[in-house]
Amino acid sequence: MTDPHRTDAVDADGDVDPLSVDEAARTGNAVIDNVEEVIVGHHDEIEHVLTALLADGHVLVEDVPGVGKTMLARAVSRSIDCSFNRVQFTPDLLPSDITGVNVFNQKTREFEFQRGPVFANLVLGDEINRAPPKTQSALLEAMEERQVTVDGETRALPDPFTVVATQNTVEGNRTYELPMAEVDRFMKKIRLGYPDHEEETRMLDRVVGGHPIEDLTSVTNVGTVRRARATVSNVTVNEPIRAYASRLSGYTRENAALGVSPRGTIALLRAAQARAVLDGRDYVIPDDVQAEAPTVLSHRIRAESGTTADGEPTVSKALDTVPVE
Amino acid sequence: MSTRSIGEGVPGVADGIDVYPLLALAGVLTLTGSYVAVLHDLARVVGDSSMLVPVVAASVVGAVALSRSIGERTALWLGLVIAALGYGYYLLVTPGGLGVLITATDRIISDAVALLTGYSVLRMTKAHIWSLGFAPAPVFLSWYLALRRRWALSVAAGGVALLVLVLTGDAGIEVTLTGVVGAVVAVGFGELSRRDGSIFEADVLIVLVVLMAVVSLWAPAVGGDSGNPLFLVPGAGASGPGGLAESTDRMTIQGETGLSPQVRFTVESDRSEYWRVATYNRFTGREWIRSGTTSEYDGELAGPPGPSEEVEQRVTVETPMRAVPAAASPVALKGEATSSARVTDHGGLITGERLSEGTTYTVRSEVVTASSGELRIAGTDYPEFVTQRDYTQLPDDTPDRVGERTAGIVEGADNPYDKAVAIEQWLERNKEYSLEVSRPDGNIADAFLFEMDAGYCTYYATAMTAMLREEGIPARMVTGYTPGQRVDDDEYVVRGLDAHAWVEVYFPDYGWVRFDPTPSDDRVSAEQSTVQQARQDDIDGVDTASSEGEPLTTTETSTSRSSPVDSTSFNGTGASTRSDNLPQLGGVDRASEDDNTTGGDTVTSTTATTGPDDEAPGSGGSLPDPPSPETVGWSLLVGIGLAAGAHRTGVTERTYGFVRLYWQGARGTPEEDVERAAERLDTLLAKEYRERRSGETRRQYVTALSLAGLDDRADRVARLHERARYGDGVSREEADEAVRLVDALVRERTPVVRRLVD
Repeated sequence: MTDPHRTDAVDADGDVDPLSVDEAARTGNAVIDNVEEVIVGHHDEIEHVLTALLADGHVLVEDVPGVGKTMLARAVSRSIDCSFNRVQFTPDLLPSDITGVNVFNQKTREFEFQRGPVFANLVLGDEINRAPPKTQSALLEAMEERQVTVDGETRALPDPFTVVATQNTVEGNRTYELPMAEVDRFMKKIRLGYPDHEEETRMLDRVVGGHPIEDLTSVTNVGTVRRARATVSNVTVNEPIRAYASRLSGYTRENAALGVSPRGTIALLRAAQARAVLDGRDYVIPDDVQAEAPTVLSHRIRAESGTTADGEPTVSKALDTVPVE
Repeated sequence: MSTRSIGEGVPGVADGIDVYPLLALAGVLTLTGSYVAVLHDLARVVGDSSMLVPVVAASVVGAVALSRSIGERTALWLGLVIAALGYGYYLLVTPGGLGVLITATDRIISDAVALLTGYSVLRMTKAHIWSLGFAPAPVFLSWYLALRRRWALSVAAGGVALLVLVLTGDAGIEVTLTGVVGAVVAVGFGELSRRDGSIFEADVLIVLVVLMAVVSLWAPAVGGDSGNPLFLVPGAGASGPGGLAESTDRMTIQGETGLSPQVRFTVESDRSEYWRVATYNRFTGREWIRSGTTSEYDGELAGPPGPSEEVEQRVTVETPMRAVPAAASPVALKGEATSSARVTDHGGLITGERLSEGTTYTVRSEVVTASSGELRIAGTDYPEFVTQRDYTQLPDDTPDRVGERTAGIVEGADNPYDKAVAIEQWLERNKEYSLEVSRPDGNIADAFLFEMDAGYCTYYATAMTAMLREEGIPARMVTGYTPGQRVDDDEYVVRGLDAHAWVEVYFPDYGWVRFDPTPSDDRVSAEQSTVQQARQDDIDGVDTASSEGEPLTTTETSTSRSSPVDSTSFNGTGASTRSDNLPQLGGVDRASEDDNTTGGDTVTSTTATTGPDDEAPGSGGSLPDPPSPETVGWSLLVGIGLAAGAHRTGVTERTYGFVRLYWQGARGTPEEDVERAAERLDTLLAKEYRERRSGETRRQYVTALSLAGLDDRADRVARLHERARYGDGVSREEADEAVRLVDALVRERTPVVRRLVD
């Protein structure tokens, strides 16, 4: 097999030797520091992307164009030395444009599978809400299943496989809003936002005369990331933490039109595990849960039925109200 | 949190009915019941309780009727008017009449003070009228206020009534407790219904009510419970026109009693006589009370109206005593006891101070010498002063069978004298003499007649008096001493064991005549054996110089009235007071202090070996007595009061907080220890900075406080706690470290404890 990613994916099945917590923390923080060389003023968001990566989740970035979404994804991929693909979603994008197609090879007289852009460790789906639902669902299926099926043949995606999808919130009339069921598949939704004046100045200082991304070197590799992921899944989540997460979700169900699904609660704990590792701990503390809750839970909540307002206020109220025990 | 949650929801609402006001009303009812019961008891003893219940009921009805129609101020005035009318009515029926209000205001005030310092209402003249006048005002006010849901004020009105009765000593512990519980219930549930609040908010009132109850119970004990009420006006209690306050005595009938062989006094007298000390006219069923006033002795007293013989006695006190023993009826007193002597309404002599050893006095008495024939025809034309002084009074609840039994005994006797003799003989023959009896419940006379086979003189005398009264014959209870040991022709040595109780019956134109229903032989032999025993044991004070070695011949053994009346053993005392303030003769009142609790034949003395030792109660047992129900009840009540007070002043919270802060508690697993240490840290930080907010993790909390100057140790504890609770646990050393760190933090922040511990 010529595809290194594929081989990795098969290897990853089960028995990857986990890193020690300290090593995993060091690796994770090294990536964060490295990305910060390029992205100015978004430490927290970078951390969120990295916890999603370590927790085997996907990230939805909702923002206006031009704030560095693509740059963030590229910087992460370069830092961990993994394959990276970018798909610009447009209204005429077809599912096969994402997954790939079987092409007839005149020489061999056989059909040959041409892999689509989804075959990469890190996939950036730009303006995902501009593509029609069928195309969206092709990506979402790949995200969920970690495999694609073309013409009846199923092909596994590389491991790690993380999608960073962006949503354009500006031109609302030319978009297909993602249904809640699909939004639920993203582990977290973050916003980058505009940099403040000082940050923007610093950013311009770096960018003018050659973008620093070109000089960014890797600080780790895909194999190490896989091992760090194994570390994350071994992190202890004790009963008080599980109960706390459940209380938080329960609160949102009681105080919003649509509350957090059990899948959301699971995602919250997984993200918290990753955060614990970044903090050098092999157990989750309430602070981890609290740090992850806004990004993990907000987009799964409909504050009021019939609106698109998300649950950020609900989550922040839940964090203030639900007692930590 | 917890107190709030009680107030939430639908407090006290069951099936759509608000339960709290009903419970509060039940409390008011209980409180009312408590003091009305006391008043009813008072009225019952004096003889007429039939009017009280209608009066109380009318007050309640009035309160119900007016609760919506008149304002509270008007109601208060109305209550005061009712109280004034009640008192006025009482004054009207007492000898002085309403004029007392003008002529003896100071005495009224003095009487009020005396009442409130333990002067029983029972000793007042016309106590039943008093209770009738007393009841309506508090009943009306408390029910009026209760129906307007002014619970605290309602309880205050009722509580004052109960308090007065507690202060006079008429309300017993059980009744008081019941009333207090009613008050607490009323206020507690009343406040609950009013504010929809928590019962914990009623703590102030609980404290006050308990305090009131405890203080009120104390006040009589301090002020002088038995016969030592505080009189503000010197000489009050004397024959003031108001006649409310009467320096009286009461005699509770006891159970088993013993014999004191010590010599009380010696008498030089030509005649062997019974030495009278006290007379009692009012019978409550359980005790005897002397009502009426006393006055200073100022010269000769009136003797019996009929034929009498003069007897001169010279008494020497051998053991200090508060009594002036004298043969009935004394007419003149000379000697050292004269200055302190007082005369009762019943013609008896008492003394205001204790007569010390060696005191001598001379009494001249006029002893009735009417023959039985004369007494048989004396008739029943009793003078007014006899009919007015409760000499035929019996408690309302005296069972009918007493009268029926008496009627059977006196059948065939057609005059008071024969009836008295019949009763006397019947008692002597049908009841055994014994000092070892347990005091029965209820009416003593009834119990002695129907339930007891044996008793001592008090029981005999009580039963005989009650039986005579059933027949409408004026009779009274008398205590004193039998003649004692005759050591010379005219000298008698009287010991404590010679104390005795007998009966005096009034005969028109002759006066008070003594009857003694107690069989003398048994009594005398019991006395003699005790003296012998005491002599063998070399007990001090058993003999005087003259009685030492003398054989114990009793001077008078025949106590039976059935002997011819003109025999020398007969003693009659007359009393024919014509004016209220000039008793002419009577008995000697007030037993010597050692004896005054029983007035029985014989009296337990602390210095003497009394009675048969082997039969003394508890002589074989060494177990302490279990606490009485009263003690337990009071302890509970005081406990509730203290708890409420502690709750009010926040002592519980503070104590709890203190314990939470300092007490690490028993060591458990390392994780438990760390958790406990973290709790203590929380408590400490909450006290010093602020409480940890809901939703705030301990790490955030400590971090936030570190900006305010908290050092790393707290952070360390928080980290250890995280690991213990959320992680894989901590080691023993780490747990100890956490405890140590918190200990250090706590000590630093509490200088006093630091000084103690370091």
